[in-house]
Amino acid sequence: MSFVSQEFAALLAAVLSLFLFVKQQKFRKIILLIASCIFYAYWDWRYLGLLMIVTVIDYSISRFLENTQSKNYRKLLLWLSVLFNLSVLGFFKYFNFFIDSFNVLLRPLGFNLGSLQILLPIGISFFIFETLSYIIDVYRGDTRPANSLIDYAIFITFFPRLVAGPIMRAKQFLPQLETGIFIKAENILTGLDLFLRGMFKKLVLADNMALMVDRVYMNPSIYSPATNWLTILAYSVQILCDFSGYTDMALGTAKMIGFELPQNFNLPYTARSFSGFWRRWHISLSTWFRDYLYIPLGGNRKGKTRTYINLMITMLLGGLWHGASWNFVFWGGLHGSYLSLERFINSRSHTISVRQTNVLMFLKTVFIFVVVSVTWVYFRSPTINTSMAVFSKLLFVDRFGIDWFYIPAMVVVPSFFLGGYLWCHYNLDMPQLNLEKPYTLAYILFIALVIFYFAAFNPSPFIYFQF
Amino acid sequence: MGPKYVFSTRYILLSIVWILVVVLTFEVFLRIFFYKSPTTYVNYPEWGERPAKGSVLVSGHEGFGIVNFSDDGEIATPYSGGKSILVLGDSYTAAIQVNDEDNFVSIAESFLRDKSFMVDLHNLGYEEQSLPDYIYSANFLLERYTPEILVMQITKYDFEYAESFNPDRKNHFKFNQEESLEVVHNPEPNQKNRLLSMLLAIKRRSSLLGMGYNRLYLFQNLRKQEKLASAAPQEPNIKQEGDTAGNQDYLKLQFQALRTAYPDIPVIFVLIHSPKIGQNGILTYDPAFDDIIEIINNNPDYHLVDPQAEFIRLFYSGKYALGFVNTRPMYGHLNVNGHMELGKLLAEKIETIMQ
Repeated sequence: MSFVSQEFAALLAAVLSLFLFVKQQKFRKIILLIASCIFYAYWDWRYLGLLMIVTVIDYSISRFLENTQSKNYRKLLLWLSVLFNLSVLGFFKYFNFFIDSFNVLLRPLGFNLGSLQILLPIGISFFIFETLSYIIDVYRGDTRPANSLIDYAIFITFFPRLVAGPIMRAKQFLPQLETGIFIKAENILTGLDLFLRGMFKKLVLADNMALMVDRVYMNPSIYSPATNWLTILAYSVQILCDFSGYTDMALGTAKMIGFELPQNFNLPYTARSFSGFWRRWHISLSTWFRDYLYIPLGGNRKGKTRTYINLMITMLLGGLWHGASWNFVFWGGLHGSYLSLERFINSRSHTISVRQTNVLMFLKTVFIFVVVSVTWVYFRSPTINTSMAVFSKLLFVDRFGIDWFYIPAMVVVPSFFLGGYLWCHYNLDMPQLNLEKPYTLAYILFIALVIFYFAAFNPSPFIYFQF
Repeated sequence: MGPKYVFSTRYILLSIVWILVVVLTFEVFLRIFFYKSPTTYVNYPEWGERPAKGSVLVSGHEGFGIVNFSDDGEIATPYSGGKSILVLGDSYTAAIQVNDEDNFVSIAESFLRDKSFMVDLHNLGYEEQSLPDYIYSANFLLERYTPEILVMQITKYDFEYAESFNPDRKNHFKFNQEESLEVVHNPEPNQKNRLLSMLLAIKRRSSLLGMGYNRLYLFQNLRKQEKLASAAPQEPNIKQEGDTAGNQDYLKLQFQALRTAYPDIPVIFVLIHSPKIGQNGILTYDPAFDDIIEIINNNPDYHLVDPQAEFIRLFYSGKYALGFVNTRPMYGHLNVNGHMELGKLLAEKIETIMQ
């Protein structure tokens, strides 16, 4: 069930209406859990079973962890959970990827391991990471286990963020659930505002950019270098608006039901460094990798070489998290190299003092935006060959092609980048809506009209749903 | 603004003012950049409802064009007076995606005037027109314009998918007892309903409502198509009565009906192809026109303007003849490049006939 569908509107309306009639918290929790299950089962009911198995097993392990003091036993329980969760993820998401890769390697020797027909359960990377963080936090003593299986099941299945995050920690969510589910008019208004902003980003900006991006990536070689350059910049806008649009809709929906979800994006294309970019892009995933992989690997505490290795491991696995394809691994590897190189240069440049003028800061931002956009080519291309075709255009190796300067991209890309830069530079913030202001209804009408009149006719699926 | 305004008269009035500001801003914005329907229409029983003389249409969904109507149902061209040439066609001829001076009819007229041919091309292009419409209006148009040459722009949709035989169309073909074709005209629905007329007039005067209605209609159609596609994804395209692929008899009958309606006058057929860019980057054309081209070439009074070769040449020189900077390339209607090439070819053909 997509956020942009009549079915979702009906589900949300039903949940909110039921909350108005049902006052007991116990029943409100059950309603929320049922709604989340319906939301998930709408895609494919078969994987609801998998979600439930993961939930029950990890909840049970967390209770065992709570009730035992033996260090060895606790460690065993932790590894049991980690192995179980990674096996589920590995089987459903990566099995065929590794088999295919082995097949390529073993083909000269005459071996072929075949492959399995496995349907990827939607949102698996997100809910597995959430349950993993929960178990690790309980093991570390950073969080208490959920009060009940229902509470834990709501945490894992909470429908606004079930399929594409933000990846939430139990210590962020469970206390809110324990406080109770309350419906307030101001929350509904703020939530609606966030939801509409998300719809605007997705349907108006991302989907209109997709029209160009999809067409050019279908066959980059027939378009000119200039068109390819515009396309890769348009894709940067598309992927941000698609994902942050989804996040805004998730935040808005959660807010309407009375929950606060963490921000996942903070103007990532205004970053002046690669590390800055990763502090602003998909924040919940970056912090997950930092807390549960990079720091446990030793972070930057074990010398320079180990720091670079840790960065590379983290980013390669980050790439692989996005999808079972060498393209994603390569994309992650490139970002790992940028981060390592940046760290290396920073460690050497303390002797050189450069005045940070506005122009220099702007140029740095442009540089990071362009490099990140070029690196997205690996992320977007269906195959390495497509990536190569795009790069042959970007580097002017192949100059042939039709010039197609898609006006929405010509308008949106620079406005989006410059607007974001100025927004960040002047530290602006979106005003909070409330019913006391007479322009509130007009503002909501304005966003609704923009969406209705300028949404793309063929909405594309959310990019991050495939992960 | 403090809480004191909530539900007070001042609060409600201010809310209404803000809403009006939003609505009016939107109306102005859409009117300038995206859509402005002609406000007045005239209804000719022999021809149908057409924008009135002096109307202006602005369209920015696909390309951007401002189209003026120099007479009832007639799109303005740069010159008037001289030998009358009638141009009939559908949305490719109406060409609301470009300014009226940039469509192929205006370009052909300008080329001919530059070569001192005193011609007056009457562009009667109108969306969703097809052969039965041209035949139904033939007497009226011949009397009104007394043309020396008839230019008829056609696409494969004039012949395929039996659109010309669709009984829901205002004018459509039907076989009579002698097994020849006749045009059936569905009369206009009763226009005397004052409420409906008023609503229609409001819709035509408001870009917000007009464009909104069009978008709703398109969204509805898309949903219908999606439902159909999911219901029967494997169902083959069922051939209907009138489909021309591999059936020259149907085609010949349609051309015969056309000849009867417009006798003793040279006809130039302008073909608009629907090319596709293949995965290999090669431009491919639908072979549906092969039969039509054969019939036209076998008739001494028929002339052909086929821009296919020019469009391919354009494509491989890095330009595209169909599609715009706000739509996909080689998709939809002709852009300025396409109209320029087509206009030149049409001018050359008219020049040949007049010599």
